[in-house]
Amino acid sequence: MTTVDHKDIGVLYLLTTIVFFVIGGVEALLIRLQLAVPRNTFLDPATYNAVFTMHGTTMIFLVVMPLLLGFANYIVPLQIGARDMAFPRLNAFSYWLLLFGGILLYWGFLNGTPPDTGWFSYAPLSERPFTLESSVDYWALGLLVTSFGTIATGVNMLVTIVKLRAPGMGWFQMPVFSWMSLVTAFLILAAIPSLTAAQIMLLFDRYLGAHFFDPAAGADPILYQHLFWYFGHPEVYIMALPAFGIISEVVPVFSRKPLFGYPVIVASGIAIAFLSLTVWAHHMFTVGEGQLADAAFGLTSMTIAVPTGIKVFSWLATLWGGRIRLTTVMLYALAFIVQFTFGGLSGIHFATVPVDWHTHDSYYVVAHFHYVLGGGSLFAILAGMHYWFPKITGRMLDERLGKLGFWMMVIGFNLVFFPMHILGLMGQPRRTYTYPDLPGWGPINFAETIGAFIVTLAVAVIVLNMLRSLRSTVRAPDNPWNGWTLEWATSSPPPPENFVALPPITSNRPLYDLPHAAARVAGQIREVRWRTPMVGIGAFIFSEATFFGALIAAFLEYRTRSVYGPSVHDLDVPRTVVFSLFLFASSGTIYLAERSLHRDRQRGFLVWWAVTIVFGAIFLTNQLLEYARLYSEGVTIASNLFTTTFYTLTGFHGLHVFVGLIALSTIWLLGRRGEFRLGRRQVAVDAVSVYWHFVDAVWVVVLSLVYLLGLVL
Amino acid sequence: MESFDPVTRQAVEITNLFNAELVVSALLLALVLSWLVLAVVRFRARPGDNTEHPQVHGNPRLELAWTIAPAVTLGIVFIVVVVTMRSVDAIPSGAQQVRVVGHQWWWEFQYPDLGVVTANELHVPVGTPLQMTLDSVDVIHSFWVPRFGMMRDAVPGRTNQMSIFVQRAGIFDGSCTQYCGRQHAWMRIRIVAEPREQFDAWAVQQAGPATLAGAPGQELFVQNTCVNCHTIRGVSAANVGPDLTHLGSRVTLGAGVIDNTPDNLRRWIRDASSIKPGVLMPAFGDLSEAELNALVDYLDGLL
Repeated sequence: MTTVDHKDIGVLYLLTTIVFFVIGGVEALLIRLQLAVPRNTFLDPATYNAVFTMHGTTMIFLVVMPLLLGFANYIVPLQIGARDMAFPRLNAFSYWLLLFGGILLYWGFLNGTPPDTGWFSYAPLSERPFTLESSVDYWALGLLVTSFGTIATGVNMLVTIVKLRAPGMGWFQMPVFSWMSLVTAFLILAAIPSLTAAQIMLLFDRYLGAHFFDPAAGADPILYQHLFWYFGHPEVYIMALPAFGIISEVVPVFSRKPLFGYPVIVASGIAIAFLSLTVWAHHMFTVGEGQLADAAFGLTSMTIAVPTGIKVFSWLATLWGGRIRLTTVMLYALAFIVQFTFGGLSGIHFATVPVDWHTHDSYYVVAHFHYVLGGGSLFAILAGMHYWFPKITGRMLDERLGKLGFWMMVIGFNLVFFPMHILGLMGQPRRTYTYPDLPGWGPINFAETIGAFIVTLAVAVIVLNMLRSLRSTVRAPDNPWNGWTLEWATSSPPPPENFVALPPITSNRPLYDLPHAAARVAGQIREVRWRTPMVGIGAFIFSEATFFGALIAAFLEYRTRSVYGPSVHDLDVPRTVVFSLFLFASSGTIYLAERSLHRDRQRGFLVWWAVTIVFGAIFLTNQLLEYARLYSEGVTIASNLFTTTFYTLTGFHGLHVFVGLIALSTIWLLGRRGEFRLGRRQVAVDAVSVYWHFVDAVWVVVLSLVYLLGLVL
Repeated sequence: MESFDPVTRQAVEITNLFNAELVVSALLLALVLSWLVLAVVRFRARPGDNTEHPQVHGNPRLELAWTIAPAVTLGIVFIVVVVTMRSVDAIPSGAQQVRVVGHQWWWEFQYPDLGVVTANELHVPVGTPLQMTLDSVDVIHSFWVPRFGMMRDAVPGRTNQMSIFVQRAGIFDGSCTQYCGRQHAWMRIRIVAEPREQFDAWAVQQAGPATLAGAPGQELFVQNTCVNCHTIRGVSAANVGPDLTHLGSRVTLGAGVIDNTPDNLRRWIRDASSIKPGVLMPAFGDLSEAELNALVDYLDGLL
């Protein structure tokens, strides 16, 4: 319970997500039972809607994403030859946030109002007038909590991979799974804060009477979809890139050949990550954003097929000419390649706009993304589980049971999801608790339900195999598959600090190079100059920038859309400008404080640091007085669209100033006791200082856009 | 399959594009599958064979080829996509106007220039372009008739456009495709596509006043709270529930959940939420059998 070892935390992630997987799986079974025959009454509509909402929410937020993060937690430090994650305690905190958030998400079931607005909870359906119950509130709060944990993991993973690689492991000696975990960490920081912003806006609407998604106030509920999918599509790749990583580990090892085109595989992963930030509106082709927007997002979405195709072809080329061992692990990987290709191809159909206009939100979509996330990510996870099970537990899995589980899984999975393509093209819409008895719909749905039971049995066989092995006394060897990456160079399971001694790292396959000595020379690694906490604060600031980006986007989108009520002319602009100068000046004084510290002048450091605190406090006090004046004049967050976005944006900035002041004061108090000297804990001072500069920089943007631009236009 | 049996000009074009994509996709899938199977068959490790095969790390020429070839293919597809998009999403001239309004959980169809308002059943003329505007009074809905090809959302606070040119007469199924709450399942659409003359006759009949003025059921309709939500032209004016002026001419009740028969209508009025849980219409349990019969006779007679 108090562990901070990355391996224990990794195992906690895996165990927790398996429990949630069972819950999400039971929900899937309930869905299939209800849909087995037309006009079924097994579940009432309210229950069905809650079940499908939580099936999606669970599988995405509590299963696939944390499962892959759990693997990364366990495997990445081993693969890069590190002793632990960069911030072990933060790592433990992330896990507990996941668990706590998961419980919050399920809280609604306990108090009788489970979330029932879909895993996307589009406004205005999720707004007060249409969902009065607390269901959406628990759902949004649960997601906020898990998201904070995920962002913390993103920071941690990024810093770990950037800073803690073993000597000799340059960027191109890094195993692909670690590479993809790094790219995933970047995507987490870039995308998830947009979800956070959307959930906060939703909660503000629900609790404070704000108007973010209220058409009557002039708002456009489609803004919610933009913010949601700006997170939601990268999320698909947060769940797919680590899966690509696993496959890129497994296929070479079981083909006895190096990965074909390693640099291209890595580069295509990076390309996918960046492209995935530009495609979100392909989830919104039917909302009426216009032909130009639709065509543009269609083009970026189609472009993703190119780097994805490169990966598939490279895996196939890795197989070619190898010595292929058809173990359970490899079978899952091969099934992944076929099923993922299938899901990818139907994905292209959705990127081609007119076909999306035809098939959107039909069962064709359900079939498509289950091939990607089930046939793809989940099969990769199963490959990874069978691959790393000996390393994690020190026990081998039974191959015959493993293969039985695999074949049942493949047959069951395809029986559930292949026919959904046909149903979609026959016109069955998704997210309905029942359907009319139209020709052919009943039998096809019934066949899918049978498939769901086969999948259930397959899961039972897989779990049974694991439980059997855990009880076995036969120990797994350190490197049962003749793997080539560093996790196979230590014992199974690894000792607390992971390695007794590391082999020389000469390529991305150090264990292959070992007997082939002299084949390669050790890689030259250029140290990343930033110190570890600085990389961490940089990553954190990056995610904060996404968050503020979302708030600023909302402000700009709504700048001229208020249909009544206050405007920028109700603000005291000159006064705010004057007090802003204090905040801007504080960036200068904190620089002077840091410079004093670098020159080892304690007194100067403390004085300038104190001035910074005072300037920040003056700014914040003025902001509070300004709020008090506005409130006394009846200008509240609920007044109109302008005040909604104004208070949210400036309020969150104010909150950041407040948090900054706490950090600054802590440093000052510690500094007075002489905790900080030149070269001693100086990095903590630098980290707080960078954060403070960021808070100031955000205010430059806010002041310009909210106060000055409003007056000029 | 409905997707391959289009009945509008737009659906034909989309289906053509889709068919071409399916052929290309099938070829690519066949390539991947046969490559994979062939590799496994040819290069499967023999037991005891520990020789090492050549450790090939890559082949720049090959890698370049499978980057450029898909990119070029997709480029061509994109051109067809844009051409198709512009064609199927173009606003025609001389079109019959239809306003589609989404409600939880039923569809309102207005023909502004014909003076017709109806619900859940959309009559369309064959051979005349149709210009639909879509919006919503509550949450987001989406209008989809698979054989029409196009789908478009009805968003509160927005007015979306969709054009359809129906080429074939018939009865076609459709539904709401954006999750809109508890009864999203029963927000179905019934399309009656008919030749121009038949459509015109229907429109004239629908634009006419309600029949059965002064029937005993009408009295009950007015006395009860029915009038707070429903319009019967000449009797009441409200827009919360569907317009009932010509209810008797419609085939289903509750947006497709049951057929419009006297028995079903009786059950519906008695307690609609026992048939469609969550529906906004309250139960009328207080009506006596005789009152209920009179009301049903009246409503069913509104042809």
